[in-house]
Amino acid sequence: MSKAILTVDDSASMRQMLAFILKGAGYEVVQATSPDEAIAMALEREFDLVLTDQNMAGGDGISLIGALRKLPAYASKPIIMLTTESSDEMKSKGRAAGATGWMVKPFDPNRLLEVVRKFTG
Amino acid sequence: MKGPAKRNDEPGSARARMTPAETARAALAAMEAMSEILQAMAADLAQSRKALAAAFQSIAARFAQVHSIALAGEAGGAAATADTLHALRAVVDALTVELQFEDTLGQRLGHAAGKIDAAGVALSEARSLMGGAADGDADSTGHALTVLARTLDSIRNAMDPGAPQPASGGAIELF
Amino acid sequence: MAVDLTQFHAVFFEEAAEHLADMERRLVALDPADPDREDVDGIFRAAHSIKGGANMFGFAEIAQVTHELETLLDAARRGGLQVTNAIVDAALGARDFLQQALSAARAGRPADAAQAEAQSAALRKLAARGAPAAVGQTAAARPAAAVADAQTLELSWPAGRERGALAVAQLIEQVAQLAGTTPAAFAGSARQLQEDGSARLVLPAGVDAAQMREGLAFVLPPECMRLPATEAAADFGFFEENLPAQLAAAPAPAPAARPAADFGFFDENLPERLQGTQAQARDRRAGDRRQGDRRTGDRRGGAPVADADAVSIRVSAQKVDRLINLTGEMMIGVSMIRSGAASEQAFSSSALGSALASVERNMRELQEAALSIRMIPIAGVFARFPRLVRDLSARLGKVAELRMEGETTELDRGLMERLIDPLTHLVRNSLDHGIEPSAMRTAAGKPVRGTVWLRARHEGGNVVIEVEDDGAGLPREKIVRRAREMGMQIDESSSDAKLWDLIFAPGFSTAEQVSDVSGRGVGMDVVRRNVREFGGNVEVSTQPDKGTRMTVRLPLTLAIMDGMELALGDEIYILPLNAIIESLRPAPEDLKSIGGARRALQLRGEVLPVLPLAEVLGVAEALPITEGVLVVVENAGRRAALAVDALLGQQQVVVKNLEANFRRVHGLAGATILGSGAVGLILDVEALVQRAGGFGRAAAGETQRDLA
Repeated sequence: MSKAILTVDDSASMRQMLAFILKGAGYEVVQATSPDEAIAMALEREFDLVLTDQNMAGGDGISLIGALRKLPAYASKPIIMLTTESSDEMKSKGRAAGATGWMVKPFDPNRLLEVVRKFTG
Repeated sequence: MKGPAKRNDEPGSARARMTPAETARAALAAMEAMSEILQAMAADLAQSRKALAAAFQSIAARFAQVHSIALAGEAGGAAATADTLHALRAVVDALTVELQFEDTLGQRLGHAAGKIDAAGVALSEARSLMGGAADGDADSTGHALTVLARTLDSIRNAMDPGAPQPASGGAIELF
Repeated sequence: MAVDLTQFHAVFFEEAAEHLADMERRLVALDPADPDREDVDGIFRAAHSIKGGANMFGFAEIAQVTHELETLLDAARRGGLQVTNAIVDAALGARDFLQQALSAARAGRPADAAQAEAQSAALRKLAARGAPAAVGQTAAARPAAAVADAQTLELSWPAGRERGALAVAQLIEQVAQLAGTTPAAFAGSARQLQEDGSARLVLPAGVDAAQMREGLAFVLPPECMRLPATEAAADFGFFEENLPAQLAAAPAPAPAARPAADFGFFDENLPERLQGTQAQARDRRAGDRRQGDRRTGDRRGGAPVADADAVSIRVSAQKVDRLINLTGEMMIGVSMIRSGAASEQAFSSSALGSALASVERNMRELQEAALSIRMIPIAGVFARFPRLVRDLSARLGKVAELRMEGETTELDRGLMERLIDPLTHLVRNSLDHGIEPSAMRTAAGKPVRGTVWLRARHEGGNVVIEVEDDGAGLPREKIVRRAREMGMQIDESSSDAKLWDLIFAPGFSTAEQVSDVSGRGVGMDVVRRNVREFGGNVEVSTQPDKGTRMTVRLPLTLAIMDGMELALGDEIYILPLNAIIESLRPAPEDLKSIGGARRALQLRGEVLPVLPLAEVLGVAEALPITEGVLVVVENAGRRAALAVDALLGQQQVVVKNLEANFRRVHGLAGATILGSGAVGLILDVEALVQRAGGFGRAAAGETQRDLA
C-alpha cells in the first residue's frame, strides 16, 4: 500500500506542484489549505508524513506542528516544514515545536523526494 | 509579537521648550531615518520587480525548451526516447524551482509592506501629536518630531535583514 | 541542473533551413493578383516557427525580422492587407537576410544588426499600410491593448559623461517636462540610469516616443536613445498575448529576445471580456495546425488551474510598479524636508507641519498600494463556475445558464480560497433546489432556461457576493414542517425572516432525497459558519415562484480604520471610531445595579447595558466603573456602554487580520502595530454589544433606526 502524505499550504499552486511531484513518485497525497483543515484531516487519518508551509492565511506552521505533536498518533511522525523562512530564530522555534526537518523554498523536487523517501522508508 | 501595548510606552509628557534649531535637528533626524527606511523598502520592491520579470521570462523559456526537446525527440526516433525523457525531466525540475518564485516574492513584498505599515503608523502618531495646532505651536511640532525621530529610528534598527537569500533555497536541515 | 541548450541548436538550424526553403518556394509562386491562401498561410507559419526557436536560443536579429515578417503576413492572410509585388519583394529580401543570419549563427558569428534593423523597418512600413481592418483585428487579439500600446524609449548614458545624481536628475527633469508630468513618474528610470547607465522609459499614455526622442535631441546624442524594436512576442505556438508594457520595461537582456507568454495555465482566470479575445487567439492557433478547421473553446495546455494564485503575475507586476513609483515620490518629499532641515532654515513649524502632512498623505497612498497587492480579482474563484453549472445542470436534468457580474472585483487573496466551498454549495443549491425542472417552469409561464447569477461588488468596506436564481424560491411549508420535525418552536405566523434563518440550523435539509449533488450535512450551517469565520455573514432573500438570492458579505480584511485608543489598566485597546456614539463620565446616580453584578446606564431616558471591559478581557488593574469613562457604542441598532479607564485619542490604524497571528479571539476584531511597535488590539464591537446583552427597548419616542 502506498504511503500517504498530508500537504499543508494556503497556496493552491504550491499544493498542486507538491501533489504533482509526490504522486509522480508513487505517494498518495492529501491536501489541506490551513492548519485547521490539517488538524481535522489528521484526526481522521494517520498519514505517514506531513509537509507544511509556515506563513499561511489561516495560521502558522509552527503552531500547527505543536498542535499535531499533541495528538498521540503524531507524537513521532515525520513533520517537515517547507517554507521561505530561513532564519536561525525561526528554525529553532520550529525545532522546539517538534519539527522533524526544515526545508527552504524554492526546493528542488529531487531533494524533496530524497527527504520524503528517507522518512517514509 | 509583543503583547498589548502598555500606557507607559506612550511618549513621555515632559516637554521643555524647543528652540527652532532643536526642532530642525529633530526634523533632520526623523527624515534621515525615514529616508533609510524608504531606501530599504525600495530595494525590497526592486528585487520583487526583478523576481517577477525574471520568473516570467524563465518560465516562458522553459516551456519553449520543452517544445524544442519534444521536437528533437520526435525527430530522433525510438533511440532518442530515453534521452528525450531525461532532458524533459531536467527541464521540468528546473521549472519546479522557478515556479516557486511566488513564495519568495510574497515574502519580499511582505517585508516591504511591514516597513510601510510601521513607518505609516509612526507618521500618523506624529501628526496627531502635533494636533490641530494650526498656527504653529512650536512646542507640539518640535515634540512630535522628536518622537517621530525616535520611533523611526527604532523601526530602522529593528528592520529584518531583508530579502531571503536565494542561496539558502533548497537547504534542508534535519533536526 | 539547466539543460544544455546547444545540443538543440542543430535541430533548430535544420528546421529553420527547411522553413526558409519552403518560404522561398511559396513566395516565388505567389501571384499578387491572385494570391493563394494556402501559400500565404504557409509562409506565415514558417516565419512563426523560426521566430519561436530564435527567441528561445537568443538569436535576436533572426527573431526580430521573423517577427516583422510574421506580422506582415498575418495582416495579409486575414485579408486586411493587399498582397503586392512590393510585399513579396520585401519578404524575399527578409528571407535572404534570414538565411545569412542563420549561416552566421551556425558558424558562431554574430548577425548583422544593422541589416536586421533595416529589414525590419521595411517590413514594418509595408505592414503599416495595411488597413485599419487588420489593425483592428490584431488589436482585438491583444486584450491588454491600452497597456501594451504604451510607448517606451530606451536611454543609455553617453559614454564619457559624468553620471552623477544631479546630472541624471536634470535629464529626468527634461523628460518629465516633455512628457507633461512630474519627475516622480520616472523615479524608477532615474534610479536605473544611476545604477546601470541605461533605462527604459515607459511613457504616459498619449506621449509619443519618437517625439520624445526629438525633444531630448539637444540633451542626448541620437545613439543614446533607441525606440525599441517591437516586443518580440515569443509565441512558440503555445502562447498568446503580449506582456503589459510595465513588465516589458523591467531590466532584461535584449528586447527582441524577451518572450511574452501567457501559457494555458492562466487562460481560465481572465475575466469574461478577455475570454472572448482569448478564444479568437486560440482560433488562430488551432487554425495554424489544422487549416480551415476552427474550433472555439479548444482547451490546451493541461487542466484548468482555476485558483487564486494564477492571475497574480500580471496583476502583481503593475501593483509593484505602483509601489515603486509611490516610494520614489515619497523619497522626494522626505528629501525636501531633509534639505530644509539640514540647511537650518527658519523652518516655521506650520511649514514643517504641512510638509509632514504631505509626506503622510504619500504614506497613506503607499499603504493602500501595499494592501492592494494582497487583493486579486474574484475572477479566480468565479472562473470554475461556468463549467460547474454546465456539468451540474446536465447531471440534474435541469436547463440553466450562469451569468456572472463583477469578476474584476478585488478581494484579499487569503479570502479567495475560503470562498470556494461556500459559493460552490450555494450555486449547487440553486441548481438543485432552486431551479425547477423545465416542465414545471413552462407550466408556470417561465422561460424554460433558468438563470443563476453570480455577482460581486464592493460596498462600503465590504465585498458583497450574490448567488441568485430565478427558480421556485424557498419552500415555506417544507421549512416549517422540517423545523417541527426537528423539534423547533415556530408557528405559522412567524415572520419570513425568522423562517429563512432556520435553513442555517445544523442538520436542516429539506431535500426529500439526498441528491448526491448538494449532499446532506455540507449544509447551510457550514456555509454560514465559514463565512462568519472571516468576519462576514450570509443573508437570504426569497420570493415564491420568483427566485432566491443569497448574499454573502465579507469585510475587506485589510483596511485602514479610524480608531479611538483607549486605556484599560495599563493596556491599550482600539475601538472603531464609527461605532462610537459618545463618551461620558458617569454620575453615580445614573448607574443602576440590575441582578448580580450587572449594571445599567440611564442616559436621557434610555437604558443601556454596561459592559465592564476589563473583566471581559481579563485586564487586572483597571479602574472601577465609577472612576473611569463610559463609551457608548452602537452596532446593528443596539447600543451598549463600555466601561474603560480613559480615552487616549484618535488614531488611524492599519488593521491586520488577527487569525494569521493568533487564533480567532472572541471580542477582538483585529490588531494593529502602534507607533511604539507594540500591538494594539482592536475590539469587535458586534461581539461586545451582543455580550452586553440588551434589555428593555429604547425609550418611547425613539424611532426605529435605519442602518446605513
